[in-house]
Amino acid sequence: MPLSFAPEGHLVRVVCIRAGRGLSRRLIEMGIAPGKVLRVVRTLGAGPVIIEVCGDKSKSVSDRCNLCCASCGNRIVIGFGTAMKILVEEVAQRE
Amino acid sequence: MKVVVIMRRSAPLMHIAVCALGAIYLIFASLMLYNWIITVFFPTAKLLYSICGVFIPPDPGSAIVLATTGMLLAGSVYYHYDRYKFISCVLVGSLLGSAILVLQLLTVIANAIDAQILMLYGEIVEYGLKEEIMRPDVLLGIPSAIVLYNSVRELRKQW
Amino acid sequence: MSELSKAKHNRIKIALAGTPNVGKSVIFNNLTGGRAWVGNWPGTTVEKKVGKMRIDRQDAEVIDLPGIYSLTAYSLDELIARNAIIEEKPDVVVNILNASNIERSLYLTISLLEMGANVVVALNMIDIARERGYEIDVRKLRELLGVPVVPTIAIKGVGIDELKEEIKKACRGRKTPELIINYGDEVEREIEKIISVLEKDPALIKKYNKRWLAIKLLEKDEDVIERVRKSQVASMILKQVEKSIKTLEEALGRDIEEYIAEKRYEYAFRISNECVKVVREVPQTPSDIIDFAITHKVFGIPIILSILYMAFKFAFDVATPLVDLIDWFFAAFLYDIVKSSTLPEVVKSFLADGVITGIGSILVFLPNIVFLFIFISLLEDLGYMARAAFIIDKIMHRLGLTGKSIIPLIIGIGCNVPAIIATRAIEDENDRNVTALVNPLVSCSARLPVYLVIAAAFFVAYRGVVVLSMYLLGMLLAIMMALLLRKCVFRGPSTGFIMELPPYMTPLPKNVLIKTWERTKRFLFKAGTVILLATVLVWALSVTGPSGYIGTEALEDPTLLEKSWVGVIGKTMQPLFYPMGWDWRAIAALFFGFMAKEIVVSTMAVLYGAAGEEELPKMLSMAFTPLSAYAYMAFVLIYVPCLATLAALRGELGLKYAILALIYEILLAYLVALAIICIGIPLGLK
Repeated sequence: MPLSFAPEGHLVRVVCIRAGRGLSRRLIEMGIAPGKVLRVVRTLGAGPVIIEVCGDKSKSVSDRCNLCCASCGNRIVIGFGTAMKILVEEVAQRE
Repeated sequence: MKVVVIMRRSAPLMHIAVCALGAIYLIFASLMLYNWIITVFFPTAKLLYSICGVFIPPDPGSAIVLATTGMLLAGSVYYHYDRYKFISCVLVGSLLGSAILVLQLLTVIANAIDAQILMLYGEIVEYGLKEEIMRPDVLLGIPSAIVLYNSVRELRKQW
Repeated sequence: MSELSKAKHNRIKIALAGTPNVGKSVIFNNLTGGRAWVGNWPGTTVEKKVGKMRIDRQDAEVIDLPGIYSLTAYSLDELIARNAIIEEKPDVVVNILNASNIERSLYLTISLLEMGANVVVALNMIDIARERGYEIDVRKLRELLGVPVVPTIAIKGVGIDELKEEIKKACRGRKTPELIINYGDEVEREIEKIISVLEKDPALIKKYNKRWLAIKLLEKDEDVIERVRKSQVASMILKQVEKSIKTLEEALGRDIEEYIAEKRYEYAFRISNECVKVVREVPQTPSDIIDFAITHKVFGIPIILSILYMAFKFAFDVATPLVDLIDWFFAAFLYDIVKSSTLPEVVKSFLADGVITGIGSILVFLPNIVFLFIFISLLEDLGYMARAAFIIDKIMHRLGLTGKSIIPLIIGIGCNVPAIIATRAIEDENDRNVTALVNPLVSCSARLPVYLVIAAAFFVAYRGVVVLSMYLLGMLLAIMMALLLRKCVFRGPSTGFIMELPPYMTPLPKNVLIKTWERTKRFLFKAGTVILLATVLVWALSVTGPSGYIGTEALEDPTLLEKSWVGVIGKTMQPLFYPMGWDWRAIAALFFGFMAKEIVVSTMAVLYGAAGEEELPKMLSMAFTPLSAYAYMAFVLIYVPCLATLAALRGELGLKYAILALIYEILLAYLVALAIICIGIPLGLK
């Protein structure tokens, strides 16, 4: 599903990015690439999202990734149009 | 430590107080809006000039701010189960309320100075100080500021 | 070589590079003492800031590069930064990192090291990192990167002295740490092949780092390709590159550019993993907590509206004493002094009615604009603007724009000139053009006097609503035109909107003031000179006519005024505006309003023989009807951006679009005014 429809508070993994060269590049620089895990911090329904890049950090941090947000890094605002181009899938929440 | 305990015990009380404040804000906001609609569309109808000594200016912009503050404060109860969400609403709401208080006071001072300056032109301008101060945004702003102070303290506590 | 040019030639150059929002300007101010020369990078509209720093009794140049995330050739800012490093060959590049988000910052660091730059790292905002529960192993970072790393808290001045020391050390002894990222065997093989071809041109190798060249060529970097084309062995090089790319894309099964970028990011990630330790669990920072309410689905927009209202209240109500003070000073005090002096009549009139009135009408706005800019700069430094862009993005999307466009539009309410300059921040060219072109429709503060005067003349009771309706009309038209332009003229999918969300920070008064001053300066100089000249021109055209010099009495006597150039102009254009029923004076005022809309009121005052602007409403009520007056207001809102705005449009978008703006606005204005009249008459509103 596109990132703009991802449910709030959930972890998602990037499946693919349907964007032109320039945009893909910018996304990768921000840490958003296929396989990366993101946390959907805020979403206004079908619209722009605020995400946090959790990436695939070393074990000790990613184990806590489900609960904490700040430890993973700064947040990024992704506009509606761009969010529609990033396809993600939900990641099973570890408890 | 003691303060924390007290806060926790009276937490539900605080919720109700904040919600009540929010409701008052909303009431005054609607009154102001009502007045404004009358002034604009029905110039001949009578205004609701004041209630219990509080003047109700027909100021739509101020009404919006008061309404937002009211929404935030009252709406915070909706999130009573989540400490962070609750504090967020209360903080932002009281911040808005305090901000408009400050702004209104600044305006009053500016008007006072302005009146002095206009005298240089030979113009004597009257301005109603009482009307400018006994307004909802100013009066409600005071409890708002208190709530703000408390919520900031709450916030500081956890980091 | 003379002593002077030798000194210049050997002058030490230091470049500051870093991602946006990382504290670069603060460090720049710390190193240079805040004194900077601001200009443009040659051939562009991007700002170039250069300052001076003392190193070993010499003056070193400190160049502030634009905020960038990487060194690709895609964005103008990145190209500028890259070229600055290649062409100007700074002795040291100070790379400023955001300690609370190292891996994103490291991407740029790695790119810089790959270029072969002499880097000193300033690890800024370590206090924020600590707040978030991170501890950073500076020694490890130093080791992994191979360059000096200085932890700093730029805002508090912590670490700046050490930074200066490291910069001095780096200047004296040039260390070129070779950063080699292993891109995988296949890629490395191709890189070697390309390097061996590159080595055939010694000039190329001398100028650039050969590994960097090879990698960039594989990345299909257009700027590097252009540079390589100039080489004698260009065709050989390019052929090898083509072959390599094909081989790799087949072997890897994906776009080589993306692959390389990803590898680089992974490297950055790995470094940050080894150096950053999560010491404390910080579930939510205060910024995050506040954000919940601010970016709330329901509360978000009311909060924006509230903040907007407060901005206006601050800018207009609180600033009134200053406005009245300035108005008194020019319109009464100075004016009377000049008029009661013993200079010859013409000179008196020139000074009083021309110069003083001109300067006065500019400065009378100043408090409002300054206060508005202060408020906006406060919001920016606070970090709120990013949230506002987020909230409004969805609505903007319907218009074909992104949330980022909202910021210039808000600034435009103060003055269109700095607003158009602010559109530089929008990356997508189409979005930027539309936002800039539509900006003049958003009522700027210069038009307010016209509304106020007319409202005072005809709509005393409904004054507030009428003025409000103008702003709303402007917004409505802006929305319409944005949709139209985006769909028809500036077609193409939007590049999208990605923005880092900075944490909320207490705005520093100094920074807010500096920002405000920079914006106000633009208004003053660009608009100020134009308005002054325009007022003098109006004066000149009022006291002279086809029959020669009429005399300054024309300013007081409307019948004389008819014979002046102003009258001629007005009368000539009058037939065009027949349906609106405006007389030649109103039209003449419009004509001069082209130069600066502030003048419309003063011109009308002169033309209608009003003793001062207070009398104007009375005089106007004899010349207009409420309907035609309303149409006039709408016309003033829409027609023609003022000269200063046109100049800004030309500067940012080019002559073609500036002219487009001119044309579409006049047409739109005419249509709307006509429409108002046509709708009003049948409704019996005459």
